[in-house]
Amino acid sequence: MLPVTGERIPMDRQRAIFTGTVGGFVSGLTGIGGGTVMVPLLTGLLKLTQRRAHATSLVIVIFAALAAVSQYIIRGEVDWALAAALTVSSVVGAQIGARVMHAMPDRELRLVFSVFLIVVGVRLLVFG
Amino acid sequence: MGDVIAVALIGLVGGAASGLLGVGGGTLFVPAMVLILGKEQHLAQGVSLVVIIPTAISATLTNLKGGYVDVETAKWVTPLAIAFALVGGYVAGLLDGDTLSRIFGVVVLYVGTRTLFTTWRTIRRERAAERASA
Repeated sequence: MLPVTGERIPMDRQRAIFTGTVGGFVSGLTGIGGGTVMVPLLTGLLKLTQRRAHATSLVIVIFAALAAVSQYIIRGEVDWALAAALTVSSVVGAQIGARVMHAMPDRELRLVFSVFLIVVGVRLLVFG
Repeated sequence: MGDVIAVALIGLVGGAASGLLGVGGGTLFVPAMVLILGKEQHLAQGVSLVVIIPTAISATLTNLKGGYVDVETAKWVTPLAIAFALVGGYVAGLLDGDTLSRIFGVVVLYVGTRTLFTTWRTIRRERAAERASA
């Protein structure tokens, strides 16, 4: 798959600042990961295509997880053996997921993401 | 042995969801560890956060090669997102977290449902147009 250069539009800095501020605050407030909040903001406010929004959101997720994990390590709430075991297959899964994402048309990807949002919404609503 | 297979499958499915959806995968990792592996909630959250890092890096390397990462946007959004996630986490400690999450659940449900319907309609309309022109 070739890089899709035509998808690029100039970024609106004010909207990017708003996205980071609101997205970060809401994800910290509710305890759900950045991606769920970031992707709709990246497509809605910053007009990224669905695919670019998913790819860009994951970069933010890396740093957000790095920032959050220290608290758990300090409190000793990490089972390192389990984390290592899960990582082995999740890294492979991520490759599969990313490749499927590259191959999937933008609208279908949007459809899949909206189903994910509904599942997350129901979970938050029912379990808090 | 059953546990080894369960762990492998949870990792694979969670990782694939992360790469496909552009999210960490904690939505899947945490309940799977609690319900299938019988881990305690906080421990599951800690493990999930650790696993998310290499998982997201793995997908990002492929996304970078494909040219899908909007580097300029990531540069502007990431520092603020992290700073305000810390602020949000602090504020959450002062408020009733359960109610907040439920309110936010309604918002997410609304955005998800609305996106589902508008996207579905667009896809159907395009397919109809394709059929008409064929």
